[in-house]
Amino acid sequence: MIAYAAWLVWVLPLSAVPFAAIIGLASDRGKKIAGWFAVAVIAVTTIFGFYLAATFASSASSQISAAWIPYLNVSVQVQVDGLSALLSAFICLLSLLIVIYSVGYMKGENGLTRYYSLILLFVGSMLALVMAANLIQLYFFWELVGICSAFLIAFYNDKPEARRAGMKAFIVTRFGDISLLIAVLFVLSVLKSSSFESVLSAVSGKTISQGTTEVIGVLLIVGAMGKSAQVPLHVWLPDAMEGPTPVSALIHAATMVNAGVYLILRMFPLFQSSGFLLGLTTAVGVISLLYGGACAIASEDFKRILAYSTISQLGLMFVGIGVDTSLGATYQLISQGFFKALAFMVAGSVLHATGLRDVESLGGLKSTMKYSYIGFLVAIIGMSGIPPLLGFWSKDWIFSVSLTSNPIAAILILISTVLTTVYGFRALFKVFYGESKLPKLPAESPWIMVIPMGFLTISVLLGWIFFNYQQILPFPVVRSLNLATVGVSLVFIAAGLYAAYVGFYSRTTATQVAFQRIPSLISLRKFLLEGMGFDAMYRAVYSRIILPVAKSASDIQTGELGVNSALMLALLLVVLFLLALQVI
Amino acid sequence: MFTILPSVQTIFIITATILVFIGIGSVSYSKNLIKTVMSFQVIVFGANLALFSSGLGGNSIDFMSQTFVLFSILVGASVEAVAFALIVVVHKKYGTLNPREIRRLRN
Repeated sequence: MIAYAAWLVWVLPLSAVPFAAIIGLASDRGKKIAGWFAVAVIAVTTIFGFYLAATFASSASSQISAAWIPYLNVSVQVQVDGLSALLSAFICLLSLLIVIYSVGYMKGENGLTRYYSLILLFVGSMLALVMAANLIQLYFFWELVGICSAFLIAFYNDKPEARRAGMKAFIVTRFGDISLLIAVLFVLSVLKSSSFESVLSAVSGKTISQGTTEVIGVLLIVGAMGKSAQVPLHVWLPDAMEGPTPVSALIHAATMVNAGVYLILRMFPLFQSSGFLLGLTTAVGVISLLYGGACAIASEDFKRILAYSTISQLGLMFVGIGVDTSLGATYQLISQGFFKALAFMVAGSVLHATGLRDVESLGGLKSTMKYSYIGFLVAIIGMSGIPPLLGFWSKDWIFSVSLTSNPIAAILILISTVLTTVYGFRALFKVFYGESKLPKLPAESPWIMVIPMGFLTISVLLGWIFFNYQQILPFPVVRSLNLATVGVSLVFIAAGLYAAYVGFYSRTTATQVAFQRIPSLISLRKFLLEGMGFDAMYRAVYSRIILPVAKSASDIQTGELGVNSALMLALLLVVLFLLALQVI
Repeated sequence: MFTILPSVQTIFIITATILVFIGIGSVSYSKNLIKTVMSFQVIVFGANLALFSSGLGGNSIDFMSQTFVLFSILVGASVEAVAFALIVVVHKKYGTLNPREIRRLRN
């Protein structure tokens, strides 16, 4: 049964993709059913996911394989252990809630068949990525996840910004993917096998040199940076907000961005064996942690705030891995998934009701959209790490570990705590409090969107009880809390809360005036709004370096058949000459 | 590469290589699209010869390769027919068959 569950959990959604397309294309009635078909498939998948997680609550691991490319010693393998079983259950649950939510959110849109087929492919590829037992298989599904996310970001394909954002996501993550591909090929050439087991046993048995390990590790980190949107490969994530909101929730909470962190968690012993790799991971994480927090404070788009917040929270996971607590990072991944999915559902609900994403033009929604308000309040309390909600335990874990192993990272985590609290409560005050600038306050979203939100609200509120005391996670979470560290972070959270309260609730006009008058504040705000100039930098590199090179390269192309085939003939003669000399 | 004694197979393969090179060379030289298609056919003949000779090694003849050569000849003939049909259209539209004067891809 376990063997079947481990395969079915990803084969089922993948094989349902063509059926979703057929059902949707068959008739007009089918277009309405396609959404519920996706819900049903993912619900069955969720049963398998939970079965796996329940069976592998201990860290026992097993592998089941079937031949794929015998020549390269590659087989389709699934690996069932604590990490993959837990993550598959987590991905299934969040995807189920998000797909139920999107049945309500996407109602009446065009192209729903494409939407639900891609969602099924997306979820199935992510589950397959998590269950994979070798690097080649992981790389295959890694690419599929990237392609699906690019297509879904560009879902509204009549909007030029959406098409651009999808293309941007595809191209920027490509840099990371190339690095991962090089890492996979390097591992294959060194070890003649790409399974995680052989790589990790080679690292622990010291059969590969320290230098080789570090090269592989650096390539893997760059690969993970692309997928997990770490600075400087993060520029696609804020633009990805052009996609439908359920897709944003899926990308940020359940699937896409978690793939990079998962890759490092999977290869954690390799990173642990080298202090340099751990330090590099910490540095990457800390930069993104502060960058995301700072940009989120300035951003005026509700969804962009959450996108920058994701960059920051993923940075915290990288810091967790870097300070040598993979379990803390896993817990952070899970809790981030829950509260970020909830926050995105609320943003989608507000967008669905008002059609607005600009926080400055929203306000006073507290009175009519009660469930959304409660959901967002709980989500940002969890995000800020206020005890005892879901986010607190993982943050405290990473913070207390980093306090002993890397004090500089610990101080920066504290600063980011202030930033997190400020941007979270800023969004809350701007959207739900204050004077409404809308002509008429909107009503709450339909029940089909409220039910997943309510479920996630309860999960963020009470999930920690199950996670900490029911041994649902495959590792012991019950740690003795150090009251001193909790107290220190509470002081910083309180400082952030006070700043947000003064700046964006009690004295909003004073803040606005200050940001319109004082020149340094104006330029700071502009700098943060532009995402610290990364986009401008990439655009400059493109127009100054890449475009001229491409132009001059295209001059070689004459467009004449005779010249082209003469060049081909010359190249063939050279190859033949080299063959004759037995150089190749 | 040429150190082995020239068996029938080797002679065939050398001939095939020469045919392919002649074909590519005449594609680059020809000023008439009909001659270009004929040069393409020379390349295809070279490839067919190489495929045919690959079945000759060893004691027995591999009939699979000969079957594929037949198949390839058929495909080549139909490709040629399509190419000539296209040439007719090109001649109607441009009034010339010189490939140097039909350059719409570049400017």
